Amino acid sequence: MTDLVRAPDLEQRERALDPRHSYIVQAPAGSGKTELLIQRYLALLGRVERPEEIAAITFTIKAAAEMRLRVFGALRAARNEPRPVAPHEARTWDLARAALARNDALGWKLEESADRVRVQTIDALCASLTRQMPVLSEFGAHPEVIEDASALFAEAARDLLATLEIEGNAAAPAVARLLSHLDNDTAQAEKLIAAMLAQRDHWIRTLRKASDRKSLEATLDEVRRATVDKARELWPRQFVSPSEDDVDGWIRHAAECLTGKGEWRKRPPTPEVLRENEPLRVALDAVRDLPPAQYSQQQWDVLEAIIQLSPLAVAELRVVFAKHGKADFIEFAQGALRALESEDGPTDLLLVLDYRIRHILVDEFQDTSNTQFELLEKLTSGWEPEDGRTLFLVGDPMQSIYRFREAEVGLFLRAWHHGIGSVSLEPLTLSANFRSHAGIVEWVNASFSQVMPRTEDIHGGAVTYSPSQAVHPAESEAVRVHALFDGDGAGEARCVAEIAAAALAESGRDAARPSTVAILVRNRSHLLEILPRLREAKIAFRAVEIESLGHRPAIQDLLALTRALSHLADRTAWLAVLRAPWCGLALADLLVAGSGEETLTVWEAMREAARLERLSPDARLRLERTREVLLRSLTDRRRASLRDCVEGAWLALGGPACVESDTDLEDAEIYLDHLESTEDSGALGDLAAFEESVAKLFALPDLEAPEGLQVMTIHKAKGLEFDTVIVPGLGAGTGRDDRKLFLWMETPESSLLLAPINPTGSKNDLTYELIRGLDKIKADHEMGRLLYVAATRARHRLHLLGDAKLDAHGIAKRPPKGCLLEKLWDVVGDEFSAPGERRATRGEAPAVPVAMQSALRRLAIDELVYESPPAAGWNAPPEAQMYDEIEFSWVGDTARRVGSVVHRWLQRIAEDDARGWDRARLEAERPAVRQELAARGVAESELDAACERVLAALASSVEDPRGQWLLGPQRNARNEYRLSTATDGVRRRLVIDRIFEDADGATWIVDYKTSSHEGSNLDRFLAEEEGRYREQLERYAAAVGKKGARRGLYFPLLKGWREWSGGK
Amino acid sequence: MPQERRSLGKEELFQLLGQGHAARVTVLTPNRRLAQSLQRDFDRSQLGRGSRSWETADILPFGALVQRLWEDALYCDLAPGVPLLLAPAQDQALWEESIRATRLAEALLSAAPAAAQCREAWQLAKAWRLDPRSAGPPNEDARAFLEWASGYERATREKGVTDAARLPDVIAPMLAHAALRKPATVALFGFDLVTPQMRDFLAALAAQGTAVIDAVAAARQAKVARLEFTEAKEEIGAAARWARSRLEGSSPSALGEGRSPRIGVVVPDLARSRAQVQRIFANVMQPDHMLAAEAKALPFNLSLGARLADFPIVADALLLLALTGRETAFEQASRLIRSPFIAGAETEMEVRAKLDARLRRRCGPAIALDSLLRLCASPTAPHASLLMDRLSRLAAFRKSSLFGAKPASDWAKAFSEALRIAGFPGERALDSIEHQTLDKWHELLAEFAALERVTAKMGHADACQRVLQMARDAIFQPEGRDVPIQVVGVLESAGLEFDHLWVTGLTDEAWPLAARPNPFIPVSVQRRAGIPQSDPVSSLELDRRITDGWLHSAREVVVSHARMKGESELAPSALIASIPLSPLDDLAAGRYATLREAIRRAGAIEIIQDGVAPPVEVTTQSGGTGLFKDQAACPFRAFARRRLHSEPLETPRLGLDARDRGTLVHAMLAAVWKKLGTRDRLMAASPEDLGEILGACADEAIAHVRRYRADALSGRYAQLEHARLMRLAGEWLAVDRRREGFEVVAIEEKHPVTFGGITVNAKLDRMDKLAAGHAIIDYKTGVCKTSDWMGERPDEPQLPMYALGGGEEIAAVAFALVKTGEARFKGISRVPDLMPGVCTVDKAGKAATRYRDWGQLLAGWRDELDATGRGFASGEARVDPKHGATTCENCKQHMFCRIAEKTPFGGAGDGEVDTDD
Ligand code: SF4
Repeated sequence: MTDLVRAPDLEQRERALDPRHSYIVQAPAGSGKTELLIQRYLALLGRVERPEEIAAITFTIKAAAEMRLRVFGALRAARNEPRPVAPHEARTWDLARAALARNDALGWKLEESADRVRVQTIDALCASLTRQMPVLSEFGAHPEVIEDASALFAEAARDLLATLEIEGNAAAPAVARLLSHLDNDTAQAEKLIAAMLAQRDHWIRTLRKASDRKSLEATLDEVRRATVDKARELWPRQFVSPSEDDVDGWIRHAAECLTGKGEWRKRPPTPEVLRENEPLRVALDAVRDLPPAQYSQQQWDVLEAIIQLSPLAVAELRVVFAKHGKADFIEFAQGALRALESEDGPTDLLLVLDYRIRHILVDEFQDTSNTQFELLEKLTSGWEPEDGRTLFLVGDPMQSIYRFREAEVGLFLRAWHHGIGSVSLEPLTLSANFRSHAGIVEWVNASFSQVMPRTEDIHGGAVTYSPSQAVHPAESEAVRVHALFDGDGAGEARCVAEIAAAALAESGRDAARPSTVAILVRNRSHLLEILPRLREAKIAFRAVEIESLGHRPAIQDLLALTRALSHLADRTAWLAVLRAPWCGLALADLLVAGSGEETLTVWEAMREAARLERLSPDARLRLERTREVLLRSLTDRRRASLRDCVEGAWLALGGPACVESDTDLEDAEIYLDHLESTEDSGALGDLAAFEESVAKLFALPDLEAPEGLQVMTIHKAKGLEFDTVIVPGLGAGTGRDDRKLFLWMETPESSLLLAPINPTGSKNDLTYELIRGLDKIKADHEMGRLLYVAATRARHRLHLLGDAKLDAHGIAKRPPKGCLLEKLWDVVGDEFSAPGERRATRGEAPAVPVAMQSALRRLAIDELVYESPPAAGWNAPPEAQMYDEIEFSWVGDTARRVGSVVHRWLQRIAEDDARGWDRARLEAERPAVRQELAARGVAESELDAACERVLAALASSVEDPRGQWLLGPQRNARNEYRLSTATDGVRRRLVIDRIFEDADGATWIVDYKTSSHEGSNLDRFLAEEEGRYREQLERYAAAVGKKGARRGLYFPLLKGWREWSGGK
Repeated sequence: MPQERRSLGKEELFQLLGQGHAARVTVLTPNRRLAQSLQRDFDRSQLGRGSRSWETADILPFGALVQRLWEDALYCDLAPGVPLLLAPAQDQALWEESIRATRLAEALLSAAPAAAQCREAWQLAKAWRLDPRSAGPPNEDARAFLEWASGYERATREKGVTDAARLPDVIAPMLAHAALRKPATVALFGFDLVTPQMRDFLAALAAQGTAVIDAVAAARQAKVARLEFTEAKEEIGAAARWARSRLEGSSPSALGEGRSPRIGVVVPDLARSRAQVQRIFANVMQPDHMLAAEAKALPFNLSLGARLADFPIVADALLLLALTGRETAFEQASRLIRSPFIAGAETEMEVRAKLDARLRRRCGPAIALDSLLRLCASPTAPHASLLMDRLSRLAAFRKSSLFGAKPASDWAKAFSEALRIAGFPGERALDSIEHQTLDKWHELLAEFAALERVTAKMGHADACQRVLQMARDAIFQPEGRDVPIQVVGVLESAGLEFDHLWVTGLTDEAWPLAARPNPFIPVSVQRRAGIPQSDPVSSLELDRRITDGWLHSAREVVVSHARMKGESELAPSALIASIPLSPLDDLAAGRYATLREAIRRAGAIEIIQDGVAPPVEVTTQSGGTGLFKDQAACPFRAFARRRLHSEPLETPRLGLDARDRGTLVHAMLAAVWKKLGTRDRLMAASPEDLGEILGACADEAIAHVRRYRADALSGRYAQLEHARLMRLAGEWLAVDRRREGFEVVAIEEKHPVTFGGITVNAKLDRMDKLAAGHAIIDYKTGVCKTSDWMGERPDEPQLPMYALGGGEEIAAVAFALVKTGEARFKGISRVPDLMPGVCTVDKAGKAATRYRDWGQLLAGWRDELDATGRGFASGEARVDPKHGATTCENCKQHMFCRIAEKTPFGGAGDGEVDTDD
């Protein structure tokens, strides 16, 4: 479809394919940037020596897979299909064709080796770099990647705090200072340090510059001046003001003009001219909150402690990583950075990889982070203009919404203006929108040129709007705003349900292409009233990553079972197991069976006969069933994995019969898989942490619902498109942000400012707040972009729902900062002008509906009847191995090893028919024997003794007449004779030490036994040994087919001998 | 490979082997698994001929032949010149040592894994005859390797040892010696490639008269099908069902007497997905295997085992060794206490659990054996005498024998003794798997002991770490029986023959294998040598050959791939993409019911009303006013906590928790006012006196809490806490100073109060006698507001309860907020201006709109508290959290009260909090 129309920005698109130049491309929503990337990739393929020279970097694994798939698709089409007619498809075909020609000429075999197409995430790229440079990256070898390393951060934080008690540890005074600052709240300190480590990529380098108080205070001064300058420039000359240099004077001045809330003072009345000057008020407000020019001693003390502790915390973290053999993505990125540049300058990748990275493509560049930016700088270091190496960055700064994942939109702007490192980038802007119809595109153009800032600001992360041109013509009624008032959550929910129902009904008409509807929210909690309303209205939907897995009743039950089986004294879990649907004990029965005494575990109580007798027959049945199952699980605890143990109990209890839907069974599977991946040797290390991790997982969307209506967060919807998009909750506020141990900022001149967290109990630290203010500005800008992402998901229709508060006159008030509606207010405010109805404050309805408060949902116990499906039919052979009495403790293997060496020598001597072997010759072999014993692993300290024993045994064998006869010349003798047999389906491999025919023609089957025996009654011992080995020799006899053969056991260490004849 | 070599079919090979030992034929395979499988095939062919016993065929991996020859050399006159062969663990230890000896090691995250990779590089270099220097100046990583390798080589030379990587080159020159038993014929079977080193060795054998021939399995014309699945899990499931169909559907006549079909399933990343594959196959083969009382034999077997360290019995042994060290994580100690693998585990199962639950309240996140012992010995702790006995003997043994530097073999014995003392492996009878695991563990200890040959003496921590690492590196698979279905990884699949073969996981991402050159040798050197893993083109060649092998190794071959992995879409491997896609139905694989479905269909759900428990029998309840607080917050919570003592376990935390810190402050202020008594005395005290008093009181408070949190309140932290208490108390006294005169008449007094028929002990922090009556004061260290006293279900009923229950005339009730920077009173009084921050009902604003004056307030409180008490007494246990999710947030009863089932939509678990301001 896209080819029907000539794209309005064709020229830009064509330029972007020039493989000789580097570009940065702004590609707004719906502009088809993936296609452009693929074309560029193909174009580059046609010019490189090896495909690996092109590194394409995507934001997600999913995007990498998609791009790779499309590259191969293009290559396949070029190989097998005729040139398409549509010009733009033909363009791709031509490029792919050229790439194929290159492939064929250079023998790449690209189509078969998918791995050669290096499209990957930045994390994967870092991992592959560090893998090839174990020393340079300072890893040593590749640790396992861990996605959620929070437990390790906490561990490192604890290790750091523990240095407090280590005598003479250099960190201890700093830890003490930090703790005092935080009111000795260790838990808080642990949390803050862990959070700091989680973001160490931010500050790790920055902090190195920060040891010096003077330079930090100079920056503070710089920032103060800059802030005052802004106000000073706006201040009308006709009014008096402090002098230019008097920053503190200005702060006092601002406080005189403005109230504590930042409004103009009424008394004394502020002149009209000033009142109307809003920018001035904002500027003065900033001045009013400026911190003093110097850190207070207290501030500096703790800041110094933090500066000192940070690298130590990182060092602790590395120790923790090493201990667990795991590392997070940041560590990999840091490793890659280290590897790419050592003390002697940039690393030559040719030596490492056998090729150089010559072309880099980056998708979603608006969401790049500082670390990634630095990585790009290093990868391109030494690149010269026109040297054939290129950088190609694509992204849409208007869609940068991943600040919480360290995305810095300012970096896009920086690259746009200044390039990266030595590479200058030619900016290109796409404008065609292939997705949305003109009505939407026009509304978006009109609205967002107002919503987004008018001027760009690299530092504040302010991005201006770049308009799009629709390729599809307009349709009626593209965008609708629905106004709600005074926190009317129920009204909003109703409205959403109605819109969704209508949109779905509409799509039902065109069966050929069922259309799609999405409800997008900024925050999952905005759905609190909407989802129940949808369910009530019987509108099926798929909620993608909305509901917490841990909240599903089925999962809570599994969790209860997991906890109960893990720990007998977890009373809550045990009671929960008895209350869960599979057992479903009523309150009265719980009082009996669950024990009222703390000193008994529930498990003990529920097995007391006296208690059982006090139960009703029904309750007894329930309890006994449950007890049976749990008894088995407990008896076999820590044999199988915990997962199997829990799953087994769950099945046996009838868990699957208790769930509400089939989706629950899938969720249960997710839970069990998660349990398996968390547990370690059949147990959970930290149950609480496990429970937290379950809460972070999401339940599956309802698998039985059609895909027509989806519910997800705006973040999740990025990159997707829907026919109708509904965005509720515009009037809702944002979450709070957690406080950090310290904040930092770099000024445009890249000098550094730091502020420590304020001490527990004291008021907000002004320096801290100053830096946080900048963060807030960035967050505010991002909100506008988030709204843009939501709005541009729509193909045909967009519905926006917002809720505004009414003032005393029933007029809607401008929403407070921090909600999406406020951003949009200048555009949609009119929709709220119709006076709303003030709603009476509702009486608080109980959180749990009255009907549910006493309800107990459980299995009707006698109806759980089922037959186990049959097992596979096959003839299992009997178990091949029998176990000897096992030694429970290991005392060393020397005896066994002595035996092996003796065996081996007897074999050798026997092969010589014992000719020429006497004590003296054996003695000469002492070094060899020693060597052999050592080779078998006999400890140095025991070598001599062992050697002695071997030689003694051998000497006595060659001197002993029995030994001489046994080892001497015999007929048909074989040593170490290897046979295989099969009896009753059991295959056995036998090794017979010696078999021969004696002078009388009798066959002898002899085994050497190197047992040793101390103490008296050797005969009895030998008799016992005979009993032990009889069966073995019988088997030998059967195997050689000589049932009548004589059997002998020879004990060289004991000079012992036992013989007997076979049965008939 | 020389092409003119004679090549045999498998049948001919078996004929040759059938001639017995006299023919001196040795078959070499690339790995042990293939050797075993070939051995089995040969046995079958012998059985097929009706033999009952026969001379065992000599089939072994190449490396094993070399080792056999090495041993021959050891037992002849060559012996003095024969170097000892390093066991893998010794080899690894030597590498680690040589890495640690260099400066480079300091920067590395860890040396052990680097050593493993160096070993691999070393093996490659030897097997492929690489000269790492041949590529010009090496990069930093290659340089490091050269340095480490030369250290390693020197060490082996000095010690007179060699390694498996060099052994062929060591032995080849000795082959002429008669004592080295050389085969008359060597047949190579199943080699996808032959390294130069092996080629040379074979040539050396040939020079001694050994005939070297190739043996190949007859290529079979297979029926090949390709299948696509959505997800890997589904794919494995289908393969399992197919395998079962083939197993059950085979006609014995077609296969020969008593023979089951041989079915193979290849799973490329088996190491990663092992557990899952195991489970899926088990579920298909015997749907109720998890319920079966006795484990039945399952007809399949996985080629890969798990890490020895992950077997519970070994894991706990390792934990036990760690416990004899300086300190272990509490959770590990806790696991040991509850471990089934130490003495008395069954007898004391319950009491140990209770003991552990108690320890959790008193420990930090790390603990040493001695302090553990001390805590267990506390007279108030549940008494697990067997455990205590073992632990104290262990502690004694630790002191006598587990310190200092020792050679590895001494450590091995000491460890073994420590385990014996602890009663390892426990009371419970071992099952077959545990038996084998224990055997393997002993082997591991023996291997560890053998490290002494190459390592210096070591300390306890080092020894433990090495044993742990070895147990992690050891992959162990308990042996089962001979089974028809083999699930193998790619590497083990080479050369195997089946009746039916299914190769899963052939996505383009997984197959051909991505090139992974060893980082320690320049890639160009590896590539020039033709090492497949170093270069995409040769990797492709090798994998193409392997693919080809699969397609000809069975009568029926199925290849498959999944379309999705997580959210990503994947394509089929190009090596099989040309095979036409068939639907699953064409395979005629059975559909077997799962147990889960059977159970799901079985039950019926009923819903009963059960919100009222029998009334309480004992009206005097322990635990104080918290009962009323719980009842007001949520009746079920009170029922659960107060009548069933439903409490979860605690997690040990570093330092003091909020509760302990609160206790400290309470104890501090109690002590202070016990000493001061009146405001006058406070005012009269000089700063020095006051400082002294505060210091003494802080000592007292700390001593009080130290009784149960000794570990957390020691050393420097105690000093810091001391300072904090003094500071806080100082801040607080400033508030008390600003008041009119008063006398503290009661401190931490308890007396019983009764509401709605329920009697509890109310405890007050402090009562002051003012001119106008008494003021009741409750110290708070966190958030508090007077509105928490108000309403039908008061959030903080403690003060009202005390106020109503006490005999005295009460003039004011107040929270004393003792918090840095925020110290002040908040409260309500009968008459105005009694205390700063305390006002009369009419001034209390929103907090008290329900009441007009003090009298009404007290009356209201009585009504509300009576109602609350009655609710509890009558057994009311509705699930009715007062403020919904907010109330539930800090409650631990979720899974018991089943709130998740009762609220229509449980919001996100992502911690995003909305604030509407
Ligand atoms: S979790 Fe909520 S509903 Fe359940 S007992 Fe606690 S407060 Fe009541």
